[in-house]
Amino acid sequence: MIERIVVVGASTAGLATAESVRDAGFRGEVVLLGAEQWDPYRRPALSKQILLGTWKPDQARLVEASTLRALGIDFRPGHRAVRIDRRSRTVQTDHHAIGTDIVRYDAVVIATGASARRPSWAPYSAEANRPAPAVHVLRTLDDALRIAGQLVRRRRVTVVGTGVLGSEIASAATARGARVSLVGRSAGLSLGAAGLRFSDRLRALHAARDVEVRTGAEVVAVRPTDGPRYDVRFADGTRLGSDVVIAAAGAEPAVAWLADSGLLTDGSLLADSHGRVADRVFAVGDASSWLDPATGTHRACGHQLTAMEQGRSVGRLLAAGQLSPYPIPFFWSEIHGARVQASGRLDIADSVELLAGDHDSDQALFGFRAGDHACGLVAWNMPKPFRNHQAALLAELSAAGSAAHLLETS
Amino acid sequence: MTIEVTRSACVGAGQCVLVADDLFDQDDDGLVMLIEEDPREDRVDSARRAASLCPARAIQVRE
Ligand SMILES: Cc1cc2nc3c(=O)[nH]c(=O)nc-3n(C[C@H](O)[C@H](O)[C@H](O)COP(=O)(O)OP(=O)(O)OC[C@H]3O[C@@H](n4cnc5c(N)ncnc54)[C@H](O)[C@@H]3O)c2cc1C
Ligand code: SF4
Repeated sequence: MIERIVVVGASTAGLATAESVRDAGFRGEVVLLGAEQWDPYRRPALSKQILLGTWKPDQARLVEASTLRALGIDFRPGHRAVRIDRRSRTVQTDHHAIGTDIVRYDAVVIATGASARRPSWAPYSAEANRPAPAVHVLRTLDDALRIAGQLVRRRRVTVVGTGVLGSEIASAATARGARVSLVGRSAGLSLGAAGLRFSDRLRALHAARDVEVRTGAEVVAVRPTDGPRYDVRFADGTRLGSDVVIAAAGAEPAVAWLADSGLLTDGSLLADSHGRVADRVFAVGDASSWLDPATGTHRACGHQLTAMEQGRSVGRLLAAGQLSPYPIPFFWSEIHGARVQASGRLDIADSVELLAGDHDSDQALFGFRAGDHACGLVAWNMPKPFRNHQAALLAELSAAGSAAHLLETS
Repeated sequence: MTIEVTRSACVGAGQCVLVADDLFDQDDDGLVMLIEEDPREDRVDSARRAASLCPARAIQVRE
């Protein structure tokens, strides 16, 4: 009998799990452990509304603590899990009050998300006697508030990392009046699983706002100077003076606390297509990689909607024993006011076609295909056509998905 | 029951319109518009479903 479910990680995926466990009628105890002091908040808003300064931290809140209490969810902020002991079925936290440091479970859901990757040239603190080069990273609300405070008119801001997050930060910093350089090692600007296919579009958006883009440029060090505060140094010997340096070099699943648990495979937390990791252990969101039944490979989550859907999937499984379909990836972004929406398995595409809009205009809708099948969609400023095409895409993918699902379980 | 939407959080994904086009619509930028903030009892499940499908959690359903 499962009488007590412990969810570790109180953000998108963990919250969705806890809520849906209740929604599906579970009457036992639900404990939600969160390392941060904040109530659960919308992480995607950090690089958008929070950096832009259009939202106060309160507006990013996903749910009030009182709502969680009303749902009978025992939310414990400021409780970081440090170990799991599967024999005694307990999670140990860093909270030292008697009775709260060891939490017993019948089932545990790991939803600890990811942490920003800190490149080797961006250490927390420099060698002795040197002021630490303050290279920022962005993952938490505290990170975002710290960076927002630095985005002052005319400051020179260097964003290192040419993925979606780098583009979003460059866009927000520009809107705050900073002079922005966006630099990175790769040959172009990437858009998530679509890779470099939209690099020209992204370059055009940045060029229109005077963001200097340097690709194929590897940063090797950041050093304090007398003039602008820092010198960003590149492998080819060139330098870039900057007042603020922000690294957007990707994220790593936050699973180090599970190192001696026996749950990791080569350092990764792998789950099946329904979030099951081991007996009584489940995983959801950015911490985990679920088995994609369509490709037979494990796929990292990385997006808010996927994290929510995985949480609901495990919630229904735990509370009602019900299996849910594998969540189809979806993400969105906002870069210099352009709204991007993307759906499906963009990484497996072998061709891309224009479905609506125009190659040269800011409005365009692209269909991604793998062989004879549609596998994804990317829309630039075309929300309504995206909605209509997405409905058709999801119907096609779920038909294919249930076929794959039958194969998997037969 | 009432529905509230946070338009500044909306990302124009239109999931809400797909499940309940009598409760939600999208403006020309794709942002959600609430058609019915106080829906009939038999639309409560649809409203809840829209809220749970919204990728930005921009829809709140209150008792
Ligand atoms: C700046 C930014 C912008 C983004 N923008 C978008 C976007 O536009 N669209 C999109 O689809 N996705 C976006 N994402 C991705 C999206 O936010 C994530 O996919 C989503 O938050 C994953 O949810 P999660 O709950 O799995 O992990 P997280 O949101 O990372 O949450 C994990 C939580 O667990 C806590 N935790 C960690 N370790 C422990 C521990 N040992 N014990 C207890 N608690 C712990 C953390 O403090 C954290 O609160 C963005 C991400 C970032 C960082
Ligand atoms: S589902 Fe959410 S994000 Fe999408 S249009 Fe509706 S309110 Fe906006």
